[in-house]
Amino acid sequence: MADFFSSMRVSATGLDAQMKRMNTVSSNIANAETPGYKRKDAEFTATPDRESFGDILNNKMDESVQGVVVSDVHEDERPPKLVYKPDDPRANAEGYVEMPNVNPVEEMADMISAQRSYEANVTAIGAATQMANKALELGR
Amino acid sequence: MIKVFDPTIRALNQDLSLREQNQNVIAGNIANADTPGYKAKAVSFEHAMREALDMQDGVKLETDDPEQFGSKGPEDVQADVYDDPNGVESLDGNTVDRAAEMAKMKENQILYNASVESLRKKLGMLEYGITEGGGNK
Amino acid sequence: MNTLNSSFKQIDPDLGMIRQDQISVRQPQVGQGQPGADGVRPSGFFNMLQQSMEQVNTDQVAADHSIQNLMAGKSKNIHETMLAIQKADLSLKTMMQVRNKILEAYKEIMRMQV
Repeated sequence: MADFFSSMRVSATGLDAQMKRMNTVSSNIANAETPGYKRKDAEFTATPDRESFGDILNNKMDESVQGVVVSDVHEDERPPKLVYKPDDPRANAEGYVEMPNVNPVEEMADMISAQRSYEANVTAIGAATQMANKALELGR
Repeated sequence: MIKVFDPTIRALNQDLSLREQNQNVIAGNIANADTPGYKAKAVSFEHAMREALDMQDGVKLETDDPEQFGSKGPEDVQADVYDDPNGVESLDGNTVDRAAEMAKMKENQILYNASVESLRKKLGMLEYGITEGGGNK
Repeated sequence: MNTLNSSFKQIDPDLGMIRQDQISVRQPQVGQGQPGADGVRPSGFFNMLQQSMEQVNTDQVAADHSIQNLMAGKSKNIHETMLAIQKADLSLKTMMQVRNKILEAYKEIMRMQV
């Protein structure tokens, strides 16, 4: 059933996902120099909007409206940067320390994108709220 | 019950539902603007509404299709939701154009508000006529 | 002017009654042998009301078309639609006021003791 609450729920999932993405990016930036840290990635998946457990039980699928969910935060599998530091206690047998494969420029771009997406979802909720309120005027 | 009202009121009522649905789809696109492989959805109903209204006016009565003479009015117009064929794929397969979606959302919002206003005034005029000018306005 | 009378009676029974009275009051004045016993001159009030009603109809239809154009995507001109609706609203209110005043005046006259 089309109603504005569906739109708001969907936008809320967007906010949540972008927030988690932000957290991941922050974590990467904060640990850019931490040896042994592996860069993290938030994985987004589209998911149908479900109103209640009852809907899920009834397998009610509204194919056209989908929210988003962070299905996985996986670690970057690419090989780490090897920096020669033989004095570091964490160095391996050859004297190399494993540094995270974090590219600050990439992370910054990701962060800006997450912020813009977050704002877009906020605007969407604003629009839905305003329209729902406007409809109330029909009753006056 | 809704059939009692004139076609414009019926059309406005349906228009509100259609625009609501439009908002839902756009919100879905915006929420999935960064989802890999997600294909942006588009909604279309203005053309169908136009046809239904023309039929109401009797403009399009030359047709051989017997089904056209059914009780389909503007209140029966449905929205067509489909994958946007104009979507440009980015590296991860996502076709959402965030700026375009924002623009669509604003336009939808404005037209929704316009329909609510129109409906409100039309109902107001009906009430005025019924109460012979003695209404609570 | 019988058509005027019957059209009023259809739309508004109160007005039809007034009109009927007006005709029956005036008829004795028409002398015999004069052509057209239906010699009622249209009163200024009723003319005004008739025009008002026609204007209301025109404006309502125009407003409806404007709204439909907006919904069908034929026009994106919202202020034009809003103005058309306002105009229809004002026409309706004007007509209603004229009609109410006529009714009031009629009742006032009927209350007079002759």
